[in-house]
Amino acid sequence: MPLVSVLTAAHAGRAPLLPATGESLATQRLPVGWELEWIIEEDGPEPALAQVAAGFPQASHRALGARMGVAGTRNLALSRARGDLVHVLDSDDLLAPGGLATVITAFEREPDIGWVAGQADNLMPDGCRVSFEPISPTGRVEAGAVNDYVLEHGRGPFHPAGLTLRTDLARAVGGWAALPRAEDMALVVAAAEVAAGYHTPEVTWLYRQHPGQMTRADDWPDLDPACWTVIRQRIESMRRLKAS
Amino acid sequence: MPLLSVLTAVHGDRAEVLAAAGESVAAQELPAGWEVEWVVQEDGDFPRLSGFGRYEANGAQLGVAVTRNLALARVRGELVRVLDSDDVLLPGALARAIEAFAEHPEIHWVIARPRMADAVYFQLLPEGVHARGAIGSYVQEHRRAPVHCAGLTARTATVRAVGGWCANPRAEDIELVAAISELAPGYLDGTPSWLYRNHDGQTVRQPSWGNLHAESYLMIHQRLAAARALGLRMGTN
Repeated sequence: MPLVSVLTAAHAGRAPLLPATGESLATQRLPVGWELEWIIEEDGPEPALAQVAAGFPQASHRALGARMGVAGTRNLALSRARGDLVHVLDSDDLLAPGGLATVITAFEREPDIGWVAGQADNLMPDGCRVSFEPISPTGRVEAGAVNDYVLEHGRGPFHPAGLTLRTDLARAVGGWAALPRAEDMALVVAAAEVAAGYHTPEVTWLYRQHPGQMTRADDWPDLDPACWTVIRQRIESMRRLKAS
Repeated sequence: MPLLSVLTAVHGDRAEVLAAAGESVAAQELPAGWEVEWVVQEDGDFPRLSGFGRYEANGAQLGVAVTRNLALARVRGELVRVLDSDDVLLPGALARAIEAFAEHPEIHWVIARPRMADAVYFQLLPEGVHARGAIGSYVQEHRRAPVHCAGLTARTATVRAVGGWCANPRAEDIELVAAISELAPGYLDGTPSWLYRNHDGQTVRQPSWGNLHAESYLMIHQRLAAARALGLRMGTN
């Protein structure tokens, strides 16, 4: 039976938010025949999430016992995935109702695609959803088009959280990159250079806005330009190798 | 003029050995026309090594793979040679690598063997050119690296294309070498060209180093299997 593996990297401080993430997963209705597993990989020396995980029968929790950072933690989760598809779900975000079904249907409709990027709504602290326009046009995206966009605009054509990939493709490009910021865009550009994908017009995930977001930490912007340099260099280098 | 970039990730308590590493770079004699730059990136919350090479600091503790990748972003050379902060290059090290690239234009990487204080480090594949996939096949079969990956010189573009050093807790460099070896042939040099210093402060001697090895190798095995299943050439297919 086809399986989608939902990967969540988390740390102990997310214990209050993780149950809502799990509920949003437990209430997904999947296309006929599909199953899901939830892989929770806990980063940090003092793990605290086993109890939350125990409340969800589809969850498989592992604590690393040391601080690895989000990219390494996601890659360790990826190594445990048994599904044909991996969907990344941040520990403070939620799936939208029907989100996974939208994604899986896209893969079934277009069998040659390697990845699906989902559109999000912001989930505000008062619980209301605020929609925003897709950053770039939705629909099928040919191989290389994401990276043309990145080179032209200096940013991604969609928010990379909420991404689903064929598991083989995610592993083949080395998973999440060892970067302090934009580790997920560095994965996206590698996958999207070699495989076509799909950008859903439907909202598939909810982007929780809260004061504990990593992207709101005081030191967040410092290393951003260097990481986007790495991403641009990865694209240019792939193209240079291809041309040579 | 062609440029080779020596890339060193370092943390603050390594000032003394870093000076020795830098002297070993400065003392290299290069083939005619070649130049060298030394790119130093310091890991840690409280940087204190400014003045060594073309220097920048992370300003945060980010780990060796991230630190090397941030250094890689600043590399200007067409070739990049990694040099750990506690190791030193032996005379002729860079010239040997450059000559291997000149002699075998098809290769994208060279791995040189280290000398230790009282021994020569193992190298489990013979000296010479190895075809695409050779490193990965060895790792798959034997569940260990056939070479010491801290002696890597590679085409900068090839390292960047595969994403640089990997977010892999214990084998960030072995995964990188396996990945670039899937793309292109390379050369194994059996002559020691760098000194691998064993000391109590080595990362590989810290108590936490013992765990997560099986998980780290699993990640490499899965990457190789997936890349081969997809016929992935990472920009070359």
